Amino acid sequence: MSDAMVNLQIDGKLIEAAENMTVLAAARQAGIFIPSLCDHPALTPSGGCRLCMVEVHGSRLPQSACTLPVREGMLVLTDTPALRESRKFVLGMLFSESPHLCPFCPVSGGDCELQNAAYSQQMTHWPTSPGWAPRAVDASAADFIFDPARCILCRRCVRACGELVGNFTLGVQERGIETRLMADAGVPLGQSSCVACGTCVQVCPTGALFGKRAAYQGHAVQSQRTATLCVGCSVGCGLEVVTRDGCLVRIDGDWAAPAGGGLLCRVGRFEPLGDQRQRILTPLVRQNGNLMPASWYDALAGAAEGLRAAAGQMAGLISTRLPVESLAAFRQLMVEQLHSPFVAGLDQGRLGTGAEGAAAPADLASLRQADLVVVLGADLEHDQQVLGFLIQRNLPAGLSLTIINARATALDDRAQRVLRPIAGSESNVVQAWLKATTPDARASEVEMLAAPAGLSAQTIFTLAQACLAARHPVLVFGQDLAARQPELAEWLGQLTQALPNLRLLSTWGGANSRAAAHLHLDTGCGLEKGQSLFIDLGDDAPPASLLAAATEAPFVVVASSYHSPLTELADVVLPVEMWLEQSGHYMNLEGRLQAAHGVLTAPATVRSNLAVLAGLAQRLGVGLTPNWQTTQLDEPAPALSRN
Amino acid sequence: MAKPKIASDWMAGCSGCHMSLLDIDERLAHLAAIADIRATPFTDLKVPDEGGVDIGILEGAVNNSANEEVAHRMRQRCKVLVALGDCAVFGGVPALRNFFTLEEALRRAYVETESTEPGSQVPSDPELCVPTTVRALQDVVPVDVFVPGCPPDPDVIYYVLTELAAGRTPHLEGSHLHWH
Repeated sequence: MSDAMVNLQIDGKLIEAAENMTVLAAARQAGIFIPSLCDHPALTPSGGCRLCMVEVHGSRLPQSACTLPVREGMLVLTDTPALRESRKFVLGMLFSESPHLCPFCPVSGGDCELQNAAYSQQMTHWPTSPGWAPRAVDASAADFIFDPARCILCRRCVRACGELVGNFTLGVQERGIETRLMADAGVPLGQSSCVACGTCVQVCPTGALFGKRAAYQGHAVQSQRTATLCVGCSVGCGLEVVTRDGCLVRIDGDWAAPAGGGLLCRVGRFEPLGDQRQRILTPLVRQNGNLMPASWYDALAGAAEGLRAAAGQMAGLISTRLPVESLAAFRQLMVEQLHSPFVAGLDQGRLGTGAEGAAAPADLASLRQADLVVVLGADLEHDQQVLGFLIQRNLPAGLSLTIINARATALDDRAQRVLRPIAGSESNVVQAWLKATTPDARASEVEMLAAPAGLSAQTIFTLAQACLAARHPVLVFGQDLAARQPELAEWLGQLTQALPNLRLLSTWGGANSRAAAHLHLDTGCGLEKGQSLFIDLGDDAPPASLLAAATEAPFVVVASSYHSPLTELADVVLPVEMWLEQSGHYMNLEGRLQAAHGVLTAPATVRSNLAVLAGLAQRLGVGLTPNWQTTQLDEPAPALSRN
Repeated sequence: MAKPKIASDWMAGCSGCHMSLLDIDERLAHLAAIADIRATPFTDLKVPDEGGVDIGILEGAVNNSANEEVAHRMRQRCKVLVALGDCAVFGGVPALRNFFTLEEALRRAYVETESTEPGSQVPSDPELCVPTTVRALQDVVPVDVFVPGCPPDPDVIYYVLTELAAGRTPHLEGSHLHWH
């Protein structure tokens, strides 16, 4: 990136622009409108649609502004009679290919860039009527639909799928009027390698790709956009949540977000739209064996009574989908005031290995520079899919990918090397790798260390050599490792000393697992049989393992947004806000502290998590002054608790 | 100067564009003051004057031989032909039929509809008009003014008709230009 600036004139307006900008970007920055279709700020310019043509003094022919770099002293005209004529012609040709019938298209009326472009050229009709050959609509994907009649072949989706997501599902087939978007080698989207992240839907300028649930729910002019965070996993992708009249319409990625950079996965983009879980709207208290609606006063009193009675023995579990404010308050109430023997995050045992502080940690942006990525014990497609996108999209540029996992993962097919150690022996792999990295390593030594993992010395040497040769190697390690191998942290620490370029990135787990670790809520599984439970579930789904514990517990309090098998087992159920209703802070896997903002208004009978905790503290007669800012979240991540 | 004569007719449409024309409400009185409203689907006179009109308005796509006759008759009898609404301008909803063969469409309409009696058949009376591919008006006769919209906003229709009545060419832009 260069900071050098150049001066140019667009439509007579003097403009200063960075030297690496295109004329289109410089014009947009200066508030000068140039119609365009195939250009998207997040994608590499392609110059395909020919709508953004401009006249440049000294050039014989018009140039596409989206691919034309700015130059000192450039004189650009964007709206001459000849250009207007050429734009109308280009649009006329686009409309002649297939029928773009607006009345029943979900994006018509402001959200269609093609329609807006036609309006900008005052087009009242199609100069040439389109062909009516039927084009089969592909509705085979669960979350979105592709209507080829509305496709203008701008290839934004193709570029997004390849450049941004690194999935390379979308491409085009045939030539000329027969050109069509296709998935893989021409299979329906629902049967293709598509991971349904929906990035293609977000970048589509027309109604060719549209979400099933968001369609016809409201146009941009009728909707509000609010920036917030996804709390689906530890990546903490930035969202723009589209709402209309207090209802959720759609979730877009926030291109300006530091985490994810606009990418989302299916779980982040589409799943919240189809959440069928039943909301809990009143507190519930068990009476004569049945859960009955109760007032907040009675429910909090009942919960407080149970907490007091079980004081010193009650275990507390809290979802790491909740903001750090809730985590800190919960910890203060349960640990400091009630002296509970066991208080933890719900993703207990799925946290980092403690080796994070041993080396300069990698951040998500550094993955762009990485030339070697080793993914150790993490199933990114399943647990942190966007992190997988950020890695796999660099493969075409020469990134070398190694997967070390006892189980098969979706990324295996894309990796140069896949090491399949025996489950639970990953620490042996790292130890052998460390040995093979030392200059005078003997094959027999490496062999001995690799044998318990079921791997050959040669495999380990190949990995070690690749890592030694790499300039920017990154080791991503994750939840599959669990806390079973306490020695792993030590070997990883030593490995980063042996390989000074190596950067580590733990996947942590839940949206706030890292903050939970800072608050010492990262203890492993320590529930005792027959222990009373206070489970602050938020909008999380209860893990199956918890149901058994809750069945045997003498008294169970659950704070939850939704009905679930766990709330069925509870003695007191306290309805709380779901993620889109609450505000608070989250620490993502990089250690980046990010603010989530309430987007929707909670039902009036539902309370915030903090209000519930404060209400309980009040009835217990204890003070609650949670001040999460004092918990030193900026310190290196704490070491893994080993129990 | 004599008031300009206006006539309208409809083809394969839903009549929504004519409803939108009526939705100019009390401005109809003003329109009647500045123009001579002749044959329309909602006046007693149904067929445009043989002697011709100044402004001819057609709603709907052309989807059979009867529509073709209406289109040609209006074109011959008017000076300025207005294609009113998305069906006349683009083909609109009726043009969705083009994605199927005529046989499929007729079988669906007359035989397979949930409400048809068992044993129903596609009518074959030789006096019936002949279905064709659904076309925009401009693919059958030359069109002078295109007014898209499904339906066009009453304000748009009023603007277009008053401009034409005043002998000017309407220019649709901004809020007056909508394709849905």
